Amino acid sequence: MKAKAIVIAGWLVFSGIVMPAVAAPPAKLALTGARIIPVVGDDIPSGTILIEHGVITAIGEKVSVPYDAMEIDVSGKVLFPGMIDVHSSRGLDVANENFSVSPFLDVYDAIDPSRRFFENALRDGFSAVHVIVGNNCVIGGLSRVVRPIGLTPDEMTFHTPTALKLSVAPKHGWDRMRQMAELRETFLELKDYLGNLAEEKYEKSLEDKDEEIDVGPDEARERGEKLIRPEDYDDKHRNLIKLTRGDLDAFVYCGTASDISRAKTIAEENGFLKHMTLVLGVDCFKAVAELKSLKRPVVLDPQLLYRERDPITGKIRETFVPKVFADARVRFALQPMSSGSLAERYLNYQAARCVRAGVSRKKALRAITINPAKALGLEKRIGSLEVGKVADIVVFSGDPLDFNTWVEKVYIDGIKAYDREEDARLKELLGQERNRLSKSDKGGDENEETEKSESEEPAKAVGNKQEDGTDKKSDDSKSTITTEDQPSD
Amino acid sequence: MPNNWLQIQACAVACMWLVLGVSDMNADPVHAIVAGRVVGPDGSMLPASAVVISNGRIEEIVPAKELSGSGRVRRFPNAVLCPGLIDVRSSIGAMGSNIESAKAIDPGASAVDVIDWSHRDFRLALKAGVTTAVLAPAANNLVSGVAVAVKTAGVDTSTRVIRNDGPLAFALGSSVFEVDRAPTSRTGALAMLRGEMGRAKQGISHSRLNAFVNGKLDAMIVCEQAMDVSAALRTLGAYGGSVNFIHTSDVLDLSEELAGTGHGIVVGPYTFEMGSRVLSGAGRFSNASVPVAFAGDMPAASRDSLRMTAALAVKYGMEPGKARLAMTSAAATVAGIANRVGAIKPGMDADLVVFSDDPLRLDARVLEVYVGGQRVYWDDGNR
Amino acid sequence: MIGRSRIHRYSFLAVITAALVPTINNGVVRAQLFDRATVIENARIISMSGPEIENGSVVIKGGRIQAIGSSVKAPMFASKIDAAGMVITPGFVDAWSALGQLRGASGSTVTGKSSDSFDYYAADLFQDAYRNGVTSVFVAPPSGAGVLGVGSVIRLASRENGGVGKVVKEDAALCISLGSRDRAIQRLKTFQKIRKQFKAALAYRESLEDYEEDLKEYMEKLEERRKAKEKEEDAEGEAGKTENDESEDSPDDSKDDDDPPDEEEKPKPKEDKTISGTSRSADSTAFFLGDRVSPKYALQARRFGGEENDDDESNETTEGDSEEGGDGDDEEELEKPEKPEPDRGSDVLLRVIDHELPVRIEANRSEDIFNALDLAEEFNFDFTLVGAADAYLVAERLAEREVAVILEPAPPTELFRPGATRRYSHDSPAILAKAGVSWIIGSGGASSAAARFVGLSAQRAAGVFGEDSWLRIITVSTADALGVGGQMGRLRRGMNADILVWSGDPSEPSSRIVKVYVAGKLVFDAEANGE
Repeated sequence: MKAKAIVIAGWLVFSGIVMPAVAAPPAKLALTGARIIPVVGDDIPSGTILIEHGVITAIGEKVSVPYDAMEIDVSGKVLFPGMIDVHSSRGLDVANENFSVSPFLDVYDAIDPSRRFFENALRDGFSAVHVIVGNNCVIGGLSRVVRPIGLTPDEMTFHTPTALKLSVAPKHGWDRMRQMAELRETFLELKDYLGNLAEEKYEKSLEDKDEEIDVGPDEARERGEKLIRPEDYDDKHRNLIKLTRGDLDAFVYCGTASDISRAKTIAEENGFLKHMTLVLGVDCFKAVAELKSLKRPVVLDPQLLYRERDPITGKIRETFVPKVFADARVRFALQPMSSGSLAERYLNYQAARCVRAGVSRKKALRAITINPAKALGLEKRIGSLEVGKVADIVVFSGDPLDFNTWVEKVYIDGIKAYDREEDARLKELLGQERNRLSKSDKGGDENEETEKSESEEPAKAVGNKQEDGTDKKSDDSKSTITTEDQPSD
Repeated sequence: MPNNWLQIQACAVACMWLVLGVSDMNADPVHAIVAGRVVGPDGSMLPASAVVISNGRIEEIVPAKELSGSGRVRRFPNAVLCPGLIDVRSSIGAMGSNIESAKAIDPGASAVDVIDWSHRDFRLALKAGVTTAVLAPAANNLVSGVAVAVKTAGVDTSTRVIRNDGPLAFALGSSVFEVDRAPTSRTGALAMLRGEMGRAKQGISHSRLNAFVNGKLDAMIVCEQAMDVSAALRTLGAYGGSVNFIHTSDVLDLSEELAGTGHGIVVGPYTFEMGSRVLSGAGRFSNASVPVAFAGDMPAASRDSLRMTAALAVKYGMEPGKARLAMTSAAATVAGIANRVGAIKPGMDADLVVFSDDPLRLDARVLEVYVGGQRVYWDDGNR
Repeated sequence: MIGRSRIHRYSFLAVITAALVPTINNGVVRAQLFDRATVIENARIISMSGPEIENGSVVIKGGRIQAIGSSVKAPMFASKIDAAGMVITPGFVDAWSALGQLRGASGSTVTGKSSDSFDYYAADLFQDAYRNGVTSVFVAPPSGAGVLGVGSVIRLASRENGGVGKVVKEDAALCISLGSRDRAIQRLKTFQKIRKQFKAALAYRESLEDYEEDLKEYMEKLEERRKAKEKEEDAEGEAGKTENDESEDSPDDSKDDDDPPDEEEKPKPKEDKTISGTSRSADSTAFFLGDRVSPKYALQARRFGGEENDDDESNETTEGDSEEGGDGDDEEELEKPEKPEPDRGSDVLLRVIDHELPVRIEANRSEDIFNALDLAEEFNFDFTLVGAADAYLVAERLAEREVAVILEPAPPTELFRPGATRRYSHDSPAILAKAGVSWIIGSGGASSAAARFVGLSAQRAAGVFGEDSWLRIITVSTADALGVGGQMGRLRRGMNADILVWSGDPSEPSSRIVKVYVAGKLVFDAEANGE
């Protein structure tokens, strides 16, 4: 009895997360009556979003909803674009490889869909997660943007390949001299490889035509260049070549302010300056003028407060990093903090901190939606509530910057992927709390009984329905058990 | 008889005269030293003056032109004559470990017991112009004993000890909070200290502590952090005796607290590694009229650490005159020997250093050193 | 008529102005035109480039010294600073510094550049450095053992987009350390490793030269073959189609005829003569027959032929080299010579051997100094000795070999620390000077904080010389020794304006630095800081 009950309880918990797979999701959906914050454009105090086949087809105060669209009344709630985790290695089993230069790796091979991280991401209002290797590398590998829902990496994938990871800040155990030397060497070796490949191609072409080599190596290289086709590249170099040709973006990690000009140098020398997003360390705000002139998307460290001791007065100088960027009019994307304080893991809380420090609300909201989308090159598809964009929508119970707000629902591609009402794990956590708090008013004696009855409730409920079909009161919990052992009364 | 008998004799006489003359140079005390500049009692430079010495003491200081009397005169027209430098926190010549951690309160100990009088470090100190070193027992007991002030050169050990009965050495800091004996925390240490002070006030503690609380014995206390200084000021400063605080790092917040109390502070040695906040400490104290002395901490620091400290302090805001005093008379005051050494004044011991230039200049060399009127070191070009 | 010419004139002027506007809008030009000059007047000037000027002025414009002297005309609109009673000197140059170095684990990266770990944004540190007179530094790679990497000279000038630090000379010197703090056996290994690296570099060059030779031969033979083919085709054209069959073979034939009997083995071509058209089929014998064999088999083919390969020996010592460049075969199947794989580390060492890149060797113990001398002799290059705690013990040898020395400041303790050189002597500068060894002093390359005080270290070391020679050592002598004497260390018309303004004589302890200009820009102002 108990075993069965536990199995069923487990199923309930598990299924609470996964969307009800019974009915097919509606092709057309209209969310009505809510306050809409599209981020790009003005807020709509009370309006409707029409979603057709996963794409937003209309937003406004008055929207004509087709007859076959399913209307969901979300009045009193706030509709917000699904938030984007723009740089995370937590979906991987290990953040980094031991190889320092590994452009041939792809996170596809390491994404673990069962990780609690994805479940929490959904719960916290993320509709897209950029899974990328960590910073402990020279060149890390390919990344991709995934949905935090799905059973396999293929199902989860939203966009691939997104970017190649590079780091200017040194690996563990290295210093910057070695890191930069390794970066330079990688690209020099790439040039050598391409030269050799060209030469080989040319010679092969002659061989195929049964001709002899008629020119020296230099000339052969020149002639062979045109003969190289993408399938000739080996895995080791393929992604690097795409990077240098501008077919692949780069996410470059700069651990400290002075790394930014080094990143610029490497990118300029190797042709990916216009395809680079910079992921910054905490003190990189000191180089804000350099970043402004670079005109590339920028992702801030989740640690938003920088502390430094003044060498003369001995006092601690605090700088709120996003304010520096906002004042310099440099667009930035925020990251949630992966560990430590509970609050910083919520991206909307990070935005709220910015507003508290004096950043305008508009900039703060952009920093968690459209700016991360820009950093990923996906601003045409996600990052705001606009006609033509993918229907990634978060339904908040209130204003996103209000810390009393919950994530009620998350729609991904127009399909409801998360509903707090059905979030059994959350309920489990909070339900017990709520019950304990409310029952503590009644006094101590009954607590023991009621607590016991609490844990037995699911089993009891099922047991009741299955066996007796009648409801038993909680006082009878003991007798219910005894009843089971004895013949029925 | 050889033909050149006369010449040989002349040579012999010349040689004897030379030999005797050379040894005489040291045996025969100097009557006066004339220098282009002399560091005066207030730290500023006096113009060309002659310092007259007799019986190992300074007799008088006169303008160079007015020098009279007979006897050997050493002239240094371009040099600076300075009192011998005093290292007020030193472990020169200490043999072995002087760490005694059995009792937290151990007023009976004396640093004079660990001195090796022929240690080579004394010679290094002399080369750097340091003529007095003050050794205290190690700072790992609340009350660790008394310090001893010794000269770094001298004929016999009896003359080398300037003072062996003080100051009383205290300490407050994490090295005091031993694990296997009380006290084990700052609060415990202060409680213990106050308790002991109470007993001393009643006259039932060790005689030295009794003397201290009655204002008859001076003290110095090594403090690890700024708050230790504040705590010590409250606990010890209430009594009549003078207390000098030895503390270098967090000094900026303390200058107001110490100003006007009459207590002094010992900072240093300053090194190149320290931040500007620490280095500007000496200047701030000095400008707030708190007496400042420098610690040299030889041999744990380099032999010219006193002058390095002074140069850095001046760079970061200390007045040059005060910096010279910090190496000499202020240090003497902290050690309670200001009646014997530390200034060029009539009656003081003739412990003097001839520098090629202002001692605050790091490119000034030590030309000669005199202790008790005897020349004990000179730069002969031999390396 | 008159009206017309006026219109012409005005329109001409209009056109000119219109053309000028974009030119003037260009930032550089605008800076030059509208950049106000700064004049510091009535000061005593120690320029290090000529005699002292008791009462003179310096004009700074566009980052450079526009004029300097006792009677200098200040340009219009210049901002004037009255420096009466003050002294002007060039900024200090630190010959061996760790200022602003971001540390990580240290190691030896031959192709590394120390400018890669410079922190442009250590603002507080740079302010303190200015306060103590430092305006340029030679940034050394972090300490370690072996060939450490290349050091650069960096001027502490403000950068356009923020930060401080402009590289003046990127490859100023290769830094090698013999690991003074290590135990003897480790130092021995370090030295042997360095020697091996140099030898490998020479072997690499040899293999490159061999390759060049082989390549030349190969190209010549290609040319011959091409010409022969042309001739054949011409002859063919004339003779008609009957010779078509032979034409395929004829290149081979002519090749055979032309080629003298070859030293290289390669048995085959003769056979091909009889086979028409199939000589290049993928026979199993192809790899013997040199039919455009892949380089991998070329070596085996040669071995089969029993060719002696002198280069095999050098192959053992060559690091990172692939197979030796093949000898250019002049068989009918030309063997393309194999290019040695690039070895960028050896490239750096070769620049040293070719005297294109200066080198400095850090060695403190006398046995290490002797090793350094041996290394320099074996590979025939001059070097600067750095650290050199024991230099005073071997001063004569150093003078004999004319080795310049960069001293380190005295250790901060008299106690013996494990790894420190016990024999450091405060008299070292004097002994070296007496023996005729030229030396300068740096701040030591170990600590970023200590690097601020290189001026004091210089003063401390230069006491032996007396006067104010320390100032000369820390400006002109160091700049010249680093090879940037034309860009810093002196105050001369046309040079970058790296200027210190002192409240009094720089040697007097009471003097403070009141203003610091680097590349003509005011970067430190004691008054503004409230000091």
